[in-house]
Formats: sequence, C-alpha cells, structure tokens
Amino acid sequence: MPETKHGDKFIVPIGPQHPALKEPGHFEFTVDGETVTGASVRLGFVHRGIEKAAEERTYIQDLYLLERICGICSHVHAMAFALGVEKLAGVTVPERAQAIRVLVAEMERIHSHLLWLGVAAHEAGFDTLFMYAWRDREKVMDLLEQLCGNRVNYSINVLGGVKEDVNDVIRDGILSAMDYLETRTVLYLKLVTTERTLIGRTRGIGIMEKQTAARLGTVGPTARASGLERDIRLEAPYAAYLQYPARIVTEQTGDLEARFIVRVKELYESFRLIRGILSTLPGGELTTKMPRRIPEGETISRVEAPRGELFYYIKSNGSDKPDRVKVRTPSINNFASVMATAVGHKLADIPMILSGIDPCFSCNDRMVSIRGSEGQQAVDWEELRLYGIEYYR
Amino acid sequence: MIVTQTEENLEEVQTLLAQLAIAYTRPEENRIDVILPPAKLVEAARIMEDTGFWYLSAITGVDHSSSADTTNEEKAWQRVVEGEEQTGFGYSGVLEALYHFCKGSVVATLRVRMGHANPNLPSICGVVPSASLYERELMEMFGISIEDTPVKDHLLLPDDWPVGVYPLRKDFKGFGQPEVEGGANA
Repeated sequence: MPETKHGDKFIVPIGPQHPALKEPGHFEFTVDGETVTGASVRLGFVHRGIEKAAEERTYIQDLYLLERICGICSHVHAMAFALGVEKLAGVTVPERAQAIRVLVAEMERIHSHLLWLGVAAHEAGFDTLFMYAWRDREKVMDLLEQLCGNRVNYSINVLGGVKEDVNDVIRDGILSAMDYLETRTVLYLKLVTTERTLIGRTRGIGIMEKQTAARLGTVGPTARASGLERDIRLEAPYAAYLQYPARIVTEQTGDLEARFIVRVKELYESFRLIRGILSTLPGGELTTKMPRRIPEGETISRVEAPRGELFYYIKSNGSDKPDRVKVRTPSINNFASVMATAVGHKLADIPMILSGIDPCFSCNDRMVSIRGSEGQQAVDWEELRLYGIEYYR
Repeated sequence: MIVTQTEENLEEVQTLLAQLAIAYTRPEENRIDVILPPAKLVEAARIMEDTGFWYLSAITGVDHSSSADTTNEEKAWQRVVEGEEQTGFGYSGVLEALYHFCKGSVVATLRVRMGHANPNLPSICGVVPSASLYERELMEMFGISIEDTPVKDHLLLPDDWPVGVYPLRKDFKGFGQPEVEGGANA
C-alpha cells in the first residue's frame, strides 16, 4: 500500500462490513484530495472454513454445505460440485436432469442479474429502477420456489441428477413469466442506455480496456463488457449447454454503462434458453445411481455463474469423503479489476465501481471511516452513497 | 470443432513449456498437468502469460499427507522430486501448489511440489499481478513461504491467528471445543 503523507493524503477504509461482496471485505482507498491514488483489499471477515469442513464430510453432506457458500448463486455451486463428483465417479447423468439443471441455472441468472440491476441503480440514487427490478425479480423467485421448494438454496441437485421434475403447470407458469419479464427487460435496456441521470453515473466511468481485463484475469459480465469473449457456457459446455448453446453478449466500451448493458442483454439470452429447454425437454429418468465411495482421482469443474467463471478443484481418495475441495468464486478474479480501475477516479465513483463487478450484496449498512493525519472521521456507507449522489447532482 | 481446438490448446502448452517441464500428464481430455521444479515456476508463468490468451484462473494448495495412495503416477512424481535433490522429502510430507491456467475449454495446471519441512516458492506476482490474493492464501492456509510476494498480510484468517498454525494442512484438527463458562455440562 502507498505511504500516507501527513496532511495531503488520506486513506479511506471501506468495510469490513461491506455488502458488495460474497464475503464482507475491507478496502482501503488512498485519496489525494478527491482522487483515488491507490487501493488494497482484505477479505475473510466471514471466512467459514468451508474448504476444510468439506474434507470432513461425505460427498452428500458437502453438496448441501457448498450450496450455502452463496445465497444468490447457490445452484451453480451445487451444480459445479455435482458435475465434478459425477465425473470422478464415471457416472452419466440423465439428459432430462442435465436440462433441468441448466433451466434452474438460467432462472438463477435472471434473478441474480435483476438483483444486481436494482442494487446498482440504488447506488446511483435511482431508486425507482431499484424497486422495479426487485419487484420483477420476485416473479423468478416465486417460480424457483414452485419448482424447487425454496426461494434460495434451491437444493434441486443430488449427486447423479436432480430431485424435482417440471410438470405442465410449472412449465406454463415459467413461460408466461418469461413473456412478462421480456417486456420489462425492453424497458430496462431503454433506461440504462437513455436515462440521463443514470448515464451521468455510468458512461465513461470505470473504463477497463480489453487488454487490462485479459491481463487481470477478469471473468463473467465484467470481462464481456470489455469485449473479452469469456463465457464457460460456450468455451467448455457443461451439463446441457451443448444441446442448448448460449450466445455470447459483449460490449466494447468497458465502462460501467457497458456492464449494465451486458447484464440486461444477458437476460434476453436466458429467456431464449429457458424457452428452448422447455419446448424440447428430453424425457427419461431424473437420477442415476451414484456410488457412495468415489474412486481416487482429481478433477476440475468449471461453470459460468451469474458473476463469471466458478472454479472447483476436487480431489477424491477412494473414500466417501473428498480429500480436497478448492472453490474459487468469480468475485475473487474481479477484485483485481476494482483495484486497477479505481485509481484515478473520484471517491464519489467508488460505490458504483464496486457494484459494477456485481459482488454479492448481502446487507445494506456498512461502515466507512475516513482516516487522515488528524484522527478518524467515521461515516457509514449510506453517507458515502449519498455523497456520490450529491456530487453528481 | 471444440475437440480440435482443445487438442490444439493442449499441444500449445506442451510446446511452450517443453524446455522447463519435468513431465506432462493428461489426466482428462481437457486438462494437461505440467510438473515443474519450483525454480522454473516464474519462467513458466511468464511464458503462459506472454501468449496473451492464457489466464490464471486459480491457485490451489494441496496437502498430500493423508493420502495413502501410491499409484504409479504418484511414484513417478516422487522419483521426479527426489531427482531434484531435495532432502527430507518423503511422499507423505508433500505439499503441492497447482497453478491453473485456462484458455477455452483447456485447463493447464503447473504443479510444483515441496517438502513439509521448509516449503517455499517464488512469487509470480511480477508476471501475474492478480496472483497476489492466491499467494496470500497459500501462505496462511498451507504455511508455504513466498519471500518476494508484494503483500504478506493475512487475507482470510484473523490478524490474531496463532503463528505456525495452517488450517488447510491435514494435521490441523481444530482447536477443540471452546471452553464454556461454568463447565461443559452446566
């Protein structure tokens, strides 16, 4: 971290209770006047030791444990783990189960992207859009509950397949909700590209060039907004993405506006995939028999979470418990982009740049203290958010 | 089409790292493992990074202590490592760091092994700046010392975590039950 000079430089610590991340994180921004000159990160405030815990539980217990890593994209965690363990066991999962996994993954993507749209709009002071997006998100949450039995931590995966089937009532419900959401998405795309108050906070801000995005190992919509064609659904199709290929959505400008546009356009892509799956859902069984003990081996399972590439490394030792499970969530890769793009920006832009990578927002109040040579001045995140809004008024 | 692209990428790794690698394995159709001596790690990472297409996806630490496995592949590794003239290096005490580079569907894993007694690695942050977070994780979770890494603070564990306790090593079994006021059965 850069040295603090007395009098003319301040370090602004943000966090640790920071809602913008899966894990609350602590950021320290060094500012010179209003301009950010350096940034560093400290994680682990809700480190739960899940990787260690996974070594001491059976594969079946781990499925439930790992699903609880994230409350927003829980399905992809369970799916990545299940796909990896099934690969180690040499088990072929029925086509219908794989298609239902993709169906739930895409519904989860809609819910996650709408959640992000609302949160990002809130950070920009555009609370009407926040209310709209979250109201529409309820549609998908209800459908997920109808299908899986749970609004979050859906638990639809089992090792070797899925638990729940899609019947005609659920199918019709999903299809009509998709039609409704599609008309709403037309509005959202218009808003994020034409609404002046929002564009004032997004256009030309937090620009990340394609080369920078590639060098920093950025993933997901954050990478795609910089023109980087990175999407595991296409690059390494898993589950049923070979039968139902996704189309990549990219933007070239690499600013916050592009990150808005990419995520909103990806909603269309999810609607299309969901309709495709429901119209040609293969028949057959939902599960296949899994051995309790998994043969020795190691595998890597990568899936495209709403936030980008989710990476699982699983090592089995022939027993009913894994030897090592390594989880690398997409936000970890995207932190580096915040650290890099924040430099040179105004402190008022920080809330938007942080939310631009779509870190998980889990709570709404966080502490921010402004620390200088003359002691500390503590403000909460709400004040920093309002400061940003006032700044651009 | 995907298949040929995968094959091309796998061969690319083999060509790129031909001078540095001790051995290659192809554990799965989309994976290639490259076994490297720790001294060649930075150079290998630089070669991968300079292509502009491979990106560091993750770094995994593995403690092989509890593995009772001695498959042929593992035995081969053991010989490889012993060939590097590192002493005090039984298979049972092996730590391994896995650097996963991705391009398309292919995952190329650079594998370096160390003994438990004095595990240390060079930092690849000079080549891949985003490796910093993973290197901090390796240091605190596995006790691998990385001398030239830019930030050595704790990343995930609390600041008052006891020195020399590395939770993801196999010999770490927790701190036992927390003391309850008035006795366990009160």
